[in-house]
Amino acid sequence: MEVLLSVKNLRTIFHTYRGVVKALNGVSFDVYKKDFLGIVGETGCGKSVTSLSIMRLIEEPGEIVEGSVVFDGRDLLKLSEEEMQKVRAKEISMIFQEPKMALNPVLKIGFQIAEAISTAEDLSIKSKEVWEKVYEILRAVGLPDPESMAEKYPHELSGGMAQRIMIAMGLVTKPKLLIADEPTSALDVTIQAQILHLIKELVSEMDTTAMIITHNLGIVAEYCERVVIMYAGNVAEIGDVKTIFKEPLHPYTKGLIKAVPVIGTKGKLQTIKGIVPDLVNPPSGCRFHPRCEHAMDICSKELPPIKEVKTGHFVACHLYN
Amino acid sequence: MVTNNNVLIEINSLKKYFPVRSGIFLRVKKYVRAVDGVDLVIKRNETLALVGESGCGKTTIGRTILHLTEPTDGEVVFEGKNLTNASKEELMQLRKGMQIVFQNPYTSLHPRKLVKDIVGEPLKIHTNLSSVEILNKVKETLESVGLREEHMYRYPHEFSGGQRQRIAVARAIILKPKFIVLDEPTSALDVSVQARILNLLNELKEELSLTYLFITHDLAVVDYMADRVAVMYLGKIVELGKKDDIFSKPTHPYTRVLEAAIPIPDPFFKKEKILPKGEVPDPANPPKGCRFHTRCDYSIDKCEKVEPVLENIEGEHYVACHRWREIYK
Repeated sequence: MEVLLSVKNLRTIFHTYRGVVKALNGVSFDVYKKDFLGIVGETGCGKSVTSLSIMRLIEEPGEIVEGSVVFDGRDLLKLSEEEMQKVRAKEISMIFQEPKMALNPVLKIGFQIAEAISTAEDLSIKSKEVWEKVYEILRAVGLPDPESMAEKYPHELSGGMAQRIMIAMGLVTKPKLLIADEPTSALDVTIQAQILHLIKELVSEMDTTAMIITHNLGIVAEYCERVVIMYAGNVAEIGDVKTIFKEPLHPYTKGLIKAVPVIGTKGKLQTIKGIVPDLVNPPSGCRFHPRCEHAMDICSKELPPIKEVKTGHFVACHLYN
Repeated sequence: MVTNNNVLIEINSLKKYFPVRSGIFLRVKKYVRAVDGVDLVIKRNETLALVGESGCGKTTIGRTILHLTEPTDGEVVFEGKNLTNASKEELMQLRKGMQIVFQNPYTSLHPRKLVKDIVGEPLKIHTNLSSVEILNKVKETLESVGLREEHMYRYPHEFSGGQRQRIAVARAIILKPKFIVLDEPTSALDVSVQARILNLLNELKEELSLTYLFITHDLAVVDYMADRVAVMYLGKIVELGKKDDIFSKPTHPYTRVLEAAIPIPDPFFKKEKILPKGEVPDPANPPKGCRFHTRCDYSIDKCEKVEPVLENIEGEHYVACHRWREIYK
């Protein structure tokens, strides 16, 4: 499979009054072309920081201190801000959790989509070509009557409609990669299903690649093909979804999957002891070792490297060395 | 309905309308019908799950049962006593037996009170125990929810989300109530923490023979916790039954849509592929007839005109749909 995006040893930190938060502790994974990849983990595991680091949207007091993000042959971390703007405009799009906060409240939505097209393709925002594309994409994301829809302001939309607009804006430039950061967490379940279906459908129609960031293992199981499991700023395990659910290797993945009730769970739910560590003072070595049942001496000393155990199945754990 | 010993709470045609004021004189222009005629019986020692999307009125039912909000119409009978026409003193007495745990443990605990005061407050209000006795009780209760004595002298902000929810649970059980409303108690928590809280709630239920009204939108949690399930849509119960009825023979089209829409964390789980249509209508202006007809694949003319009532399918399985006979397998 052809690699589209390769994240290597990414380290992002945040300088806070409490000390330095080591949010990403050397994150490495690949995104293949036409992937539908899920990035999953609990609060504070660094999944959102990963996506923001890829887009270089980390602001003060945050800082990317190490690593590379090779996208289509170029290291994004080495581009000038101007070049990066072009990547954001045309090649990688991002959808956020709160669609209404991501839209500009004082501009009509048609204009906001047109702006995305004109920036990406260097066309005049008034040109007929741009507006034809606006109407076309509005229809594609399932909004009836695109002409009148384009005249609306964000406050006139429901959450589901606003997220459709965000998807329209994200995909209208035909990006090579779509990053969706918790795209449905603010929506109702029936709307969530509609939105996820829509993303999946459009991404496969346009032959493009998607990376979905979520805390919901259900979304991963139902919509994604491959998954990256993150824990406390590290990648714990990578593999295709069925393998990960059937034969998880990392003790954290195992615990996580058993902790979620599925239909038909009998008996007590299994739990993971302890709590997520404070990333100002993370545990030494493998950050999961204080909560791990299989912890050995080496686990508190050395960070386990991520290794391919079977084809396409990667795990970062000393048990598999 | 006949009140028998098995029944803890009986809810009869409960209604709660919230006025919507607008215009310069803030006149009431319309009402949001959050709960619009609900009949429900909660049996002793059961966990009844109330499922639905946001805005369907599930939280309002929970609050109205406890009379934290006054119902617009209808009555709530708790152990044979009608709460609706109870005096203030009677209500105070009855409240000892019924408690609530809220969704967000970050906002439901007083930030400037010590844990011992938060958990001990119900005792202060409802009993004449001395402060030493209260402290002992608080300690005991904290231990039963998995917290330690030293936690008594800390403030809520010193705890993680899961621990805070334990504090909220401790506050709810300290008076040894019979009934607890659990309003999305784990929605704000991470999955590994959720598992521990769910296990704790099940243990406490056994130990203290509690009855739960479990409000949630997560069907897998429902399957794990509940004995019976009520599915709500726009202020009405559309389907009610034992957990197995609802999961193996979902009959109301909305229940089926909901079950298909909720992602199940199991890639090998086979389920119906139904894509929900449209969006939830405005509860201030619900559709006429069956409220779900605007989004329903089975909708016929009758559905637009006549509102269906809950009909018995078999056993304890009820559904409010004109076409259930055709859908039911």
